[in-house]
Amino acid sequence: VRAPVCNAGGGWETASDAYNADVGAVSSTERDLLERLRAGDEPAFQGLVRQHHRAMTRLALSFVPTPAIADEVVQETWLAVIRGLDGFEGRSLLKTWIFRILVNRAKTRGVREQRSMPFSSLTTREDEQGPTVDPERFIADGEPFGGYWSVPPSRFFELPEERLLAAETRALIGRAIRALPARQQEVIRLRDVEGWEAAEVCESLGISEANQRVLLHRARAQVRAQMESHFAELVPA
Amino acid sequence: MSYEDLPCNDFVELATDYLEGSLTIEQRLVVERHLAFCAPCVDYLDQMRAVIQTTGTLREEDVPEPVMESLVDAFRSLHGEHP
Repeated sequence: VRAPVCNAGGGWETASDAYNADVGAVSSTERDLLERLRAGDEPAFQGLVRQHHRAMTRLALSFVPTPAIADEVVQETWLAVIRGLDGFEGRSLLKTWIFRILVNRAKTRGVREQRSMPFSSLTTREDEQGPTVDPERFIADGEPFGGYWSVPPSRFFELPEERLLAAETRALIGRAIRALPARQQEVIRLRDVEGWEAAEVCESLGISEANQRVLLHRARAQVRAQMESHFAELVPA
Repeated sequence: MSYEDLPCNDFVELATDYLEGSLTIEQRLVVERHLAFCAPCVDYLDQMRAVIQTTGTLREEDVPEPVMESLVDAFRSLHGEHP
């Protein structure tokens, strides 16, 4: 399932073809859900809330200073969604519409609370440059095989699934994500925690495809480094 | 470009673009040639895949009951009276 194409930020030639091919499938389930919501179907509404509430709260937190304000922003967003359902034209997916409302409100609120730019805009491109893997892991430039691994990646992915997916590992990933710059958190949460498509993330956050990939790459690379060192005793590099 | 033109420290920065399918055909060929000869970089990709898979298990759906109740109330008051 793909969302309509967003900003033409980086050569994503196939996205519009894919959208055209998928649009029928997307809109039939979407239309169905929308009709049920408009008809006052409470289980459908509860399902929608359950599906997105957590992600919305976490996302709001990257724009505003406190969890209490994030909760308020999410609450306001749901009320705006409830009020806007009848007017929603269905030109984007319901969820990207909801998240756009959320992001706009959270940004506005963030500016007001901090009397400055939103947190997201403060963490600038400094976080988006430089190598994502410790340069010490590679043979120095100028030496024979400069740039090739000197300490190769470990094979922690071969650990049994119960180890890899243990509560401890998931807690570690949660901490690693919370330590990321806000923009990277926003993207990795929607892409990898929520499982959204790239185009849906771009549309909700108002960023280009190219920027989305940079943020995703840096976020994943951080989580990777944390996981590798977490498992270093079991699986040395 | 050949295998030698793409050292591992450049490959790791292309890993996401590669997994996302956003490289040009030329870039993809260089990356795939590198991977054909470089087992550690294949391991790096497998690490990334494991990261993506594990991160995907963090999804949470629970909503505090009072929050859900107040939202359903608001929903009912606007959409509930339809025949």
